[in-house]
Amino acid sequence: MQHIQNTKIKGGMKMLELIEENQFLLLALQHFGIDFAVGDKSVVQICAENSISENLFLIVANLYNGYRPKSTLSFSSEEIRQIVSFLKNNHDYYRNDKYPEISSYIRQLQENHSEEIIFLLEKFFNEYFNEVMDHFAYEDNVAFPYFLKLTNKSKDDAPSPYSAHEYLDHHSDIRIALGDLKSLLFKHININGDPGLRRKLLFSLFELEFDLHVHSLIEENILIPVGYNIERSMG
Amino acid sequence: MMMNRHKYAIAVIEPSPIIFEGIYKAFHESESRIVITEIESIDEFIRQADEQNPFDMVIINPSVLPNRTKEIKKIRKTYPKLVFVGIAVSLVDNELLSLYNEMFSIYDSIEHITQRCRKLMKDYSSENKSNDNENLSKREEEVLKLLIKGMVNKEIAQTLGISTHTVISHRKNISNKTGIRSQSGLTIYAISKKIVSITDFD
Repeated sequence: MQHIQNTKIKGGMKMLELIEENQFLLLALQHFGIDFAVGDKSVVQICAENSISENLFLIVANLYNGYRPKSTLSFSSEEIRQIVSFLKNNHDYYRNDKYPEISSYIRQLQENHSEEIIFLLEKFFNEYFNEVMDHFAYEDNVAFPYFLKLTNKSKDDAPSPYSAHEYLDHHSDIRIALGDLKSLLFKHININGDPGLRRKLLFSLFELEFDLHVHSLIEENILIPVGYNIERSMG
Repeated sequence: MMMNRHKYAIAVIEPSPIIFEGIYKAFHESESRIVITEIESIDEFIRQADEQNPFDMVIINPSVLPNRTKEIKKIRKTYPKLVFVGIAVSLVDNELLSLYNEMFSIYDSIEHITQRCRKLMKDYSSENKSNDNENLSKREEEVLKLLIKGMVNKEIAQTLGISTHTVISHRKNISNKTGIRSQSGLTIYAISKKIVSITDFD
Protein backbone atom coordinates (compact mmCIF):
# COMPACT_ATOMS: atom_id res chain seq x y z
CA MET A 1 0.00 0.00 0.00
CA GLN A 2 1.19 3.46 -0.71
CA HIS A 3 2.12 5.15 2.53
CA ILE A 4 4.02 8.20 1.57
CA GLN A 5 2.43 11.39 2.71
CA ASN A 6 2.03 13.74 -0.23
CA THR A 7 1.26 17.43 -0.34
CA LYS A 8 -1.60 18.53 1.87
CA ILE A 9 -4.09 19.68 -0.74
CA LYS A 10 -5.56 23.17 -0.56
CA GLY A 11 -8.19 24.77 -2.77
CA GLY A 12 -5.88 27.10 -4.67
CA MET A 13 -3.51 24.35 -5.87
CA LYS A 14 -3.42 23.24 -9.47
CA MET A 15 -5.08 19.88 -9.95
CA LEU A 16 -2.62 18.69 -12.57
CA GLU A 17 0.38 19.29 -10.32
CA LEU A 18 -1.32 17.26 -7.61
CA ILE A 19 -2.00 14.41 -10.04
CA GLU A 20 1.61 14.50 -11.20
CA GLU A 21 2.59 13.90 -7.60
CA ASN A 22 0.01 11.24 -6.74
CA GLN A 23 -1.60 9.43 -9.66
CA PHE A 24 -4.07 7.70 -7.37
CA LEU A 25 -5.94 11.02 -7.30
CA LEU A 26 -7.24 10.02 -10.73
CA LEU A 27 -9.36 7.49 -8.86
CA ALA A 28 -10.76 10.26 -6.68
CA LEU A 29 -11.63 12.30 -9.79
CA GLN A 30 -13.30 9.33 -11.43
CA HIS A 31 -15.40 8.48 -8.40
CA PHE A 32 -16.50 12.12 -8.11
CA GLY A 33 -17.38 12.08 -11.81
CA ILE A 34 -14.78 14.71 -12.68
CA ASP A 35 -13.21 14.57 -16.15
CA PHE A 36 -9.45 13.98 -16.33
CA ALA A 37 -8.83 16.87 -18.73
CA VAL A 38 -8.15 19.23 -15.85
CA GLY A 39 -5.96 21.65 -17.81
CA ASP A 40 -4.39 24.29 -15.62
CA LYS A 41 -7.37 24.68 -13.36
CA SER A 42 -7.21 24.84 -9.61
CA VAL A 43 -9.03 22.52 -7.24
CA VAL A 44 -11.61 25.22 -6.43
CA GLN A 45 -12.37 25.85 -10.11
CA ILE A 46 -12.78 22.19 -10.88
CA CYS A 47 -15.06 21.62 -7.90
CA ALA A 48 -17.22 24.60 -8.91
CA GLU A 49 -17.49 23.41 -12.52
CA ASN A 50 -18.55 19.96 -11.39
CA SER A 51 -20.83 21.14 -8.58
CA ILE A 52 -18.80 19.18 -6.05
CA SER A 53 -18.41 20.57 -2.55
CA GLU A 54 -14.89 21.92 -2.22
CA ASN A 55 -14.85 21.06 1.47
CA LEU A 56 -15.74 17.45 0.74
CA PHE A 57 -13.37 17.14 -2.18
CA LEU A 58 -10.47 18.40 -0.08
CA ILE A 59 -11.20 15.92 2.70
CA VAL A 60 -11.42 12.97 0.31
CA ALA A 61 -8.47 13.99 -1.86
CA ASN A 62 -6.37 14.48 1.27
CA LEU A 63 -7.25 10.95 2.36
CA TYR A 64 -5.76 9.81 -0.95
CA ASN A 65 -2.70 11.91 -0.12
CA GLY A 66 -2.32 10.37 3.32
CA TYR A 67 -4.10 12.78 5.67
CA ARG A 68 -6.92 11.78 7.95
CA PRO A 69 -9.60 14.34 8.64
CA LYS A 70 -10.06 15.71 12.12
CA SER A 71 -12.68 13.95 14.13
CA THR A 72 -15.11 16.84 14.28
CA LEU A 73 -16.64 17.12 10.86
CA SER A 74 -20.08 18.15 9.78
CA PHE A 75 -21.62 17.99 6.34
CA SER A 76 -24.68 19.35 4.60
CA SER A 77 -27.21 16.87 3.26
CA GLU A 78 -26.07 17.74 -0.26
CA GLU A 79 -22.53 16.75 0.74
CA ILE A 80 -23.75 13.46 2.15
CA ARG A 81 -25.49 12.77 -1.14
CA GLN A 82 -22.17 13.44 -2.86
CA ILE A 83 -20.30 11.09 -0.51
CA VAL A 84 -22.80 8.33 -1.14
CA SER A 85 -22.59 8.85 -4.88
CA PHE A 86 -18.79 8.76 -4.65
CA LEU A 87 -18.90 5.46 -2.77
CA LYS A 88 -21.37 3.99 -5.24
CA ASN A 89 -19.10 4.89 -8.15
CA ASN A 90 -16.35 3.28 -6.12
CA HIS A 91 -18.36 0.06 -6.05
CA ASP A 92 -18.89 0.15 -9.81
CA TYR A 93 -15.19 0.52 -10.30
CA TYR A 94 -14.46 -2.59 -8.22
CA ARG A 95 -17.21 -4.59 -9.87
CA ASN A 96 -16.82 -3.64 -13.51
CA ASP A 97 -13.20 -2.65 -13.72
CA LYS A 98 -10.93 -4.07 -11.06
CA TYR A 99 -12.47 -7.50 -10.58
CA PRO A 100 -12.51 -8.52 -14.28
CA GLU A 101 -8.97 -7.22 -14.61
CA ILE A 102 -7.48 -9.14 -11.67
CA SER A 103 -9.56 -12.17 -12.47
CA SER A 104 -8.26 -12.27 -16.04
CA TYR A 105 -4.65 -12.03 -14.86
CA ILE A 106 -5.10 -14.95 -12.50
CA ARG A 107 -6.89 -16.90 -15.22
CA GLN A 108 -4.02 -16.27 -17.63
CA LEU A 109 -1.54 -17.32 -14.97
CA GLN A 110 -3.45 -20.52 -14.55
CA GLU A 111 -3.38 -21.19 -18.29
CA ASN A 112 0.37 -20.66 -18.45
CA HIS A 113 1.17 -22.72 -15.38
CA SER A 114 -0.54 -25.97 -14.62
CA GLU A 115 0.21 -26.00 -10.88
CA GLU A 116 -2.77 -26.81 -8.70
CA ILE A 117 -1.79 -24.01 -6.38
CA ILE A 118 -2.73 -21.34 -8.91
CA PHE A 119 -6.11 -22.95 -9.26
CA LEU A 120 -6.49 -22.56 -5.49
CA LEU A 121 -5.37 -18.97 -5.73
CA GLU A 122 -8.15 -18.27 -8.20
CA LYS A 123 -10.64 -19.94 -5.91
CA PHE A 124 -9.37 -17.85 -3.01
CA PHE A 125 -9.70 -14.65 -4.98
CA ASN A 126 -13.20 -15.51 -6.15
CA GLU A 127 -14.36 -16.34 -2.65
CA TYR A 128 -12.84 -13.13 -1.44
CA PHE A 129 -14.44 -11.12 -4.18
CA ASN A 130 -17.85 -12.60 -3.51
CA GLU A 131 -17.52 -11.48 0.07
CA VAL A 132 -16.63 -7.98 -1.04
CA MET A 133 -19.62 -7.97 -3.37
CA ASP A 134 -21.92 -9.05 -0.55
CA HIS A 135 -20.61 -6.20 1.53
CA PHE A 136 -21.18 -3.74 -1.32
CA ALA A 137 -24.68 -5.04 -1.90
CA TYR A 138 -25.35 -4.49 1.80
CA GLU A 139 -24.04 -0.95 1.56
CA ASP A 140 -25.97 -0.17 -1.62
CA ASN A 141 -29.22 -1.64 -0.36
CA VAL A 142 -29.16 -1.01 3.38
CA ALA A 143 -26.52 1.41 4.56
CA PHE A 144 -26.61 4.10 1.86
CA PRO A 145 -30.40 4.41 1.67
CA TYR A 146 -30.37 4.70 5.44
CA PHE A 147 -27.89 7.57 5.35
CA LEU A 148 -29.82 9.33 2.61
CA LYS A 149 -33.06 9.03 4.58
CA LEU A 150 -31.29 10.34 7.64
CA THR A 151 -30.28 13.47 5.81
CA ASN A 152 -33.93 14.04 4.98
CA LYS A 153 -34.62 13.83 8.68
CA SER A 154 -37.20 11.12 8.26
CA LYS A 155 -35.84 8.41 10.44
CA ASP A 156 -39.22 6.73 10.75
CA ASP A 157 -39.45 5.43 7.23
CA ALA A 158 -35.75 4.69 6.97
CA PRO A 159 -34.95 1.06 6.19
CA SER A 160 -33.75 -1.13 9.03
CA PRO A 161 -30.76 0.58 10.61
CA TYR A 162 -27.33 -0.50 9.51
CA SER A 163 -24.90 -1.68 12.13
CA ALA A 164 -21.64 0.14 12.44
CA HIS A 165 -20.14 -3.02 13.87
CA GLU A 166 -21.08 -5.16 10.92
CA TYR A 167 -19.65 -2.45 8.72
CA LEU A 168 -16.27 -2.44 10.41
CA ASP A 169 -16.04 -6.24 10.59
CA HIS A 170 -16.53 -6.47 6.84
CA HIS A 171 -13.83 -3.93 6.32
CA SER A 172 -11.24 -5.81 8.30
CA ASP A 173 -12.15 -9.09 6.52
CA ILE A 174 -11.61 -7.39 3.19
CA ARG A 175 -8.26 -6.02 4.25
CA ILE A 176 -7.13 -9.37 5.63
CA ALA A 177 -7.92 -11.30 2.45
CA LEU A 178 -6.12 -8.84 0.22
CA GLY A 179 -3.08 -8.88 2.49
CA ASP A 180 -3.12 -12.67 2.39
CA LEU A 181 -3.17 -12.68 -1.38
CA LYS A 182 -0.14 -10.41 -1.50
CA SER A 183 1.74 -12.47 1.11
CA LEU A 184 1.08 -15.63 -0.91
CA LEU A 185 2.32 -14.06 -4.14
CA PHE A 186 5.35 -12.38 -2.60
CA LYS A 187 6.45 -14.97 -0.11
CA HIS A 188 5.03 -18.40 -0.55
CA ILE A 189 3.94 -19.41 -4.03
CA ASN A 190 6.62 -20.24 -6.55
CA ILE A 191 5.77 -19.42 -10.12
CA ASN A 192 8.50 -19.65 -12.71
CA GLY A 193 8.78 -16.89 -15.26
CA ASP A 194 5.90 -14.72 -16.44
CA PRO A 195 7.26 -11.60 -14.71
CA GLY A 196 5.19 -9.25 -16.86
CA LEU A 197 1.92 -10.91 -16.08
CA ARG A 198 2.74 -11.23 -12.41
CA ARG A 199 3.76 -7.58 -12.19
CA LYS A 200 0.46 -6.53 -13.77
CA LEU A 201 -1.40 -8.67 -11.28
CA LEU A 202 0.52 -7.16 -8.35
CA PHE A 203 0.02 -3.62 -9.62
CA SER A 204 -3.69 -4.27 -9.85
CA LEU A 205 -3.78 -5.65 -6.34
CA PHE A 206 -1.92 -2.63 -5.00
CA GLU A 207 -4.30 -0.27 -6.78
CA LEU A 208 -7.31 -2.17 -5.45
CA GLU A 209 -5.85 -2.22 -1.97
CA PHE A 210 -5.17 1.49 -2.01
CA ASP A 211 -8.61 2.41 -3.23
CA LEU A 212 -10.32 0.05 -0.79
CA HIS A 213 -8.25 1.55 1.98
CA VAL A 214 -9.46 5.05 1.15
CA HIS A 215 -12.98 3.70 0.68
CA SER A 216 -12.99 2.31 4.23
CA LEU A 217 -11.47 5.50 5.59
CA ILE A 218 -14.26 7.54 4.02
CA GLU A 219 -16.88 5.31 5.55
CA GLU A 220 -15.21 5.09 8.94
CA ASN A 221 -14.19 8.74 9.23
CA ILE A 222 -16.98 10.51 7.39
CA LEU A 223 -20.11 8.47 6.81
CA ILE A 224 -20.43 6.62 10.10
CA PRO A 225 -19.69 9.62 12.39
CA VAL A 226 -22.04 11.79 10.34
CA GLY A 227 -24.74 9.16 10.78
CA TYR A 228 -24.20 9.12 14.53
CA ASN A 229 -24.37 12.89 14.73
CA ILE A 230 -27.63 13.11 12.83
CA GLU A 231 -29.15 10.33 14.88
CA ARG A 232 -28.11 12.05 18.06
CA SER A 233 -29.48 15.41 16.94
CA MET A 234 -32.82 13.77 16.20
CA GLY A 235 -32.86 12.20 19.64
CA MET B 1 0.77 -7.41 6.07
CA MET B 2 4.25 -7.19 7.45
CA MET B 3 5.68 -6.10 4.17
CA ASN B 4 3.87 -2.80 4.44
CA ARG B 5 5.59 -1.84 7.61
CA HIS B 6 8.63 -0.20 6.16
CA LYS B 7 7.51 3.27 7.12
CA TYR B 8 6.67 4.80 10.43
CA ALA B 9 3.30 6.08 11.52
CA ILE B 10 3.52 8.94 13.97
CA ALA B 11 0.63 10.51 15.86
CA VAL B 12 1.12 14.06 17.07
CA ILE B 13 -0.98 15.50 19.87
CA GLU B 14 -0.02 19.15 19.96
CA PRO B 15 -2.56 21.93 20.42
CA SER B 16 -0.32 24.69 19.08
CA PRO B 17 -0.65 24.89 15.28
CA ILE B 18 2.76 26.50 14.88
CA ILE B 19 4.53 23.87 16.97
CA PHE B 20 2.64 21.11 15.18
CA GLU B 21 3.71 22.55 11.85
CA GLY B 22 7.30 22.65 13.08
CA ILE B 23 7.24 19.01 14.21
CA TYR B 24 5.61 18.03 10.93
CA LYS B 25 8.25 19.80 8.81
CA ALA B 26 11.18 18.60 10.89
CA PHE B 27 10.18 14.95 10.64
CA HIS B 28 9.30 15.05 6.97
CA GLU B 29 12.64 16.58 6.19
CA SER B 30 14.55 14.02 8.20
CA GLU B 31 12.77 10.90 7.00
CA SER B 32 10.68 10.38 3.89
CA ARG B 33 8.91 7.16 4.78
CA ILE B 34 6.69 8.46 7.53
CA VAL B 35 3.07 9.36 7.91
CA ILE B 36 2.15 11.96 10.48
CA THR B 37 -1.37 12.19 11.82
CA GLU B 38 -2.57 15.21 13.75
CA ILE B 39 -4.68 14.11 16.67
CA GLU B 40 -6.77 16.43 18.78
CA SER B 41 -6.89 14.69 22.11
CA ILE B 42 -5.84 11.62 23.99
CA ASP B 43 -9.37 10.22 23.63
CA GLU B 44 -9.19 10.66 19.90
CA PHE B 45 -5.85 8.87 19.95
CA ILE B 46 -7.33 5.91 21.82
CA ARG B 47 -10.19 5.74 19.34
CA GLN B 48 -7.90 5.76 16.30
CA ALA B 49 -5.37 3.36 17.77
CA ASP B 50 -8.19 0.90 18.47
CA GLU B 51 -9.64 1.06 15.02
CA GLN B 52 -6.65 1.27 12.78
CA ASN B 53 -3.21 -0.11 12.51
CA PRO B 54 -1.43 1.05 15.59
CA PHE B 55 0.98 3.92 15.43
CA ASP B 56 4.71 3.42 15.87
CA MET B 57 5.17 6.57 17.89
CA VAL B 58 3.14 9.26 19.53
CA ILE B 59 4.58 12.71 20.12
CA ILE B 60 2.65 14.52 22.75
CA ASN B 61 2.70 17.87 24.44
CA PRO B 62 2.62 16.88 28.13
CA SER B 63 0.61 19.95 29.03
CA VAL B 64 -2.44 18.50 27.26
CA LEU B 65 -2.42 15.61 29.69
CA PRO B 66 -2.95 16.93 33.17
CA ASN B 67 -4.53 14.22 35.32
CA ARG B 68 -4.56 11.65 32.55
CA THR B 69 -1.90 9.41 34.08
CA LYS B 70 -4.29 6.49 34.22
CA GLU B 71 -5.10 6.68 30.53
CA ILE B 72 -1.46 6.92 29.59
CA LYS B 73 -0.57 3.92 31.70
CA LYS B 74 -3.34 2.00 30.01
CA ILE B 75 -2.16 3.00 26.54
CA ARG B 76 1.38 1.98 27.37
CA LYS B 77 0.14 -1.38 28.56
CA THR B 78 -2.14 -1.99 25.57
CA TYR B 79 0.48 -0.95 23.01
CA PRO B 80 3.80 -2.01 24.50
CA LYS B 81 5.65 -1.37 21.24
CA LEU B 82 4.41 2.16 20.87
CA VAL B 83 7.14 4.74 21.38
CA PHE B 84 5.83 7.50 23.59
CA VAL B 85 7.73 10.77 23.58
CA GLY B 86 6.93 14.22 24.84
CA ILE B 87 8.03 17.64 23.73
CA ALA B 88 7.69 19.79 26.79
CA VAL B 89 7.06 23.50 26.66
CA SER B 90 7.37 23.82 30.42
CA LEU B 91 8.65 21.80 33.36
CA VAL B 92 7.27 18.31 33.67
CA ASP B 93 6.49 16.49 36.89
CA ASN B 94 8.94 13.69 37.63
CA GLU B 95 6.27 11.09 38.09
CA LEU B 96 4.90 11.92 34.65
CA LEU B 97 8.36 11.70 33.09
CA SER B 98 8.52 7.99 33.82
CA LEU B 99 5.54 7.41 31.54
CA TYR B 100 7.48 8.50 28.48
CA ASN B 101 10.28 6.80 26.55
CA GLU B 102 11.87 10.19 26.24
CA MET B 103 11.07 13.77 27.04
CA PHE B 104 12.38 16.54 24.81
CA SER B 105 12.31 20.24 25.35
CA ILE B 106 11.21 22.66 22.65
CA TYR B 107 14.73 24.08 22.90
CA ASP B 108 16.38 20.81 21.80
CA SER B 109 17.82 20.84 18.30
CA ILE B 110 15.77 19.41 15.46
CA GLU B 111 18.50 16.88 14.65
CA HIS B 112 18.64 15.68 18.23
CA ILE B 113 14.89 15.14 18.40
CA THR B 114 14.44 13.49 15.02
CA GLN B 115 17.50 11.26 15.30
CA ARG B 116 16.59 10.11 18.78
CA CYS B 117 13.02 9.38 17.70
CA ARG B 118 14.17 7.45 14.67
CA LYS B 119 16.44 5.37 16.85
CA LEU B 120 13.67 4.67 19.35
CA MET B 121 11.32 3.57 16.58
CA LYS B 122 13.98 1.36 15.04
CA ASP B 123 14.80 -0.27 18.35
CA TYR B 124 11.17 -1.11 18.86
CA SER B 125 10.55 -2.35 15.35
CA SER B 126 13.63 -4.59 15.46
CA GLU B 127 12.10 -6.16 18.53
CA ASN B 128 9.18 -7.03 16.28
CA LYS B 129 11.45 -8.64 13.78
CA SER B 130 13.33 -10.87 16.17
CA ASN B 131 10.59 -13.50 15.93
CA ASP B 132 10.18 -12.96 12.22
CA ASN B 133 11.86 -16.23 11.31
CA GLU B 134 9.74 -17.53 8.45
CA ASN B 135 9.76 -21.24 9.15
CA LEU B 136 7.04 -22.62 11.33
CA SER B 137 7.99 -24.76 14.29
CA LYS B 138 6.78 -28.37 14.46
CA ARG B 139 4.11 -27.40 16.94
CA GLU B 140 2.94 -24.51 14.83
CA GLU B 141 2.62 -26.84 11.84
CA GLU B 142 0.47 -29.18 13.91
CA VAL B 143 -1.78 -26.30 14.94
CA LEU B 144 -1.95 -25.14 11.34
CA LYS B 145 -3.04 -28.57 10.10
CA LEU B 146 -5.91 -28.71 12.55
CA LEU B 147 -6.81 -25.11 11.94
CA ILE B 148 -7.30 -25.59 8.22
CA LYS B 149 -9.39 -28.68 8.91
CA GLY B 150 -11.82 -26.18 10.37
CA MET B 151 -11.25 -26.86 14.05
CA VAL B 152 -11.86 -24.07 16.54
CA ASN B 153 -9.29 -23.14 19.21
CA LYS B 154 -10.89 -25.31 21.87
CA GLU B 155 -10.88 -28.42 19.66
CA ILE B 156 -7.28 -27.84 18.66
CA ALA B 157 -6.34 -27.47 22.32
CA GLN B 158 -8.05 -30.73 23.23
CA THR B 159 -6.53 -32.64 20.32
CA LEU B 160 -3.00 -31.50 21.11
CA GLY B 161 -3.43 -31.55 24.87
CA ILE B 162 -2.47 -27.91 25.30
CA SER B 163 -4.33 -24.88 26.65
CA THR B 164 -6.52 -22.67 24.48
CA HIS B 165 -4.29 -19.81 25.43
CA THR B 166 -1.28 -21.62 23.92
CA VAL B 167 -3.26 -22.34 20.74
CA ILE B 168 -4.03 -18.65 20.40
CA SER B 169 -0.39 -17.74 20.82
CA HIS B 170 0.64 -20.33 18.20
CA ARG B 171 -1.93 -18.92 15.81
CA LYS B 172 -0.58 -15.45 16.34
CA ASN B 173 2.93 -16.65 15.53
CA ILE B 174 1.72 -18.50 12.44
CA SER B 175 0.09 -15.34 11.10
CA ASN B 176 3.08 -13.19 11.96
CA LYS B 177 5.50 -15.54 10.26
CA THR B 178 3.47 -16.19 7.12
CA GLY B 179 1.78 -12.81 6.77
CA ILE B 180 -1.49 -14.70 6.27
CA ARG B 181 -4.51 -14.43 8.52
CA SER B 182 -7.50 -16.01 6.81
CA GLN B 183 -8.21 -19.71 6.96
CA SER B 184 -8.38 -20.14 3.20
CA GLY B 185 -5.14 -18.19 2.79
CA LEU B 186 -3.46 -20.47 5.34
CA THR B 187 -4.77 -23.52 3.49
CA ILE B 188 -3.06 -22.39 0.31
CA TYR B 189 0.08 -21.69 2.30
CA ALA B 190 0.04 -25.17 3.85
CA ILE B 191 -0.40 -26.80 0.45
CA SER B 192 2.33 -24.74 -1.19
CA LYS B 193 4.73 -25.67 1.63
CA LYS B 194 3.60 -29.30 1.44
CA ILE B 195 2.51 -29.30 5.06
CA VAL B 196 -0.71 -30.85 3.82
CA SER B 197 -1.59 -32.43 0.52
CA ILE B 198 -4.06 -30.94 -1.90
CA THR B 199 -5.93 -34.25 -2.00
CA ASP B 200 -6.93 -33.74 1.65
CA PHE B 201 -9.38 -31.10 0.48
CA ASP B 202 -11.36 -32.83 -2.23
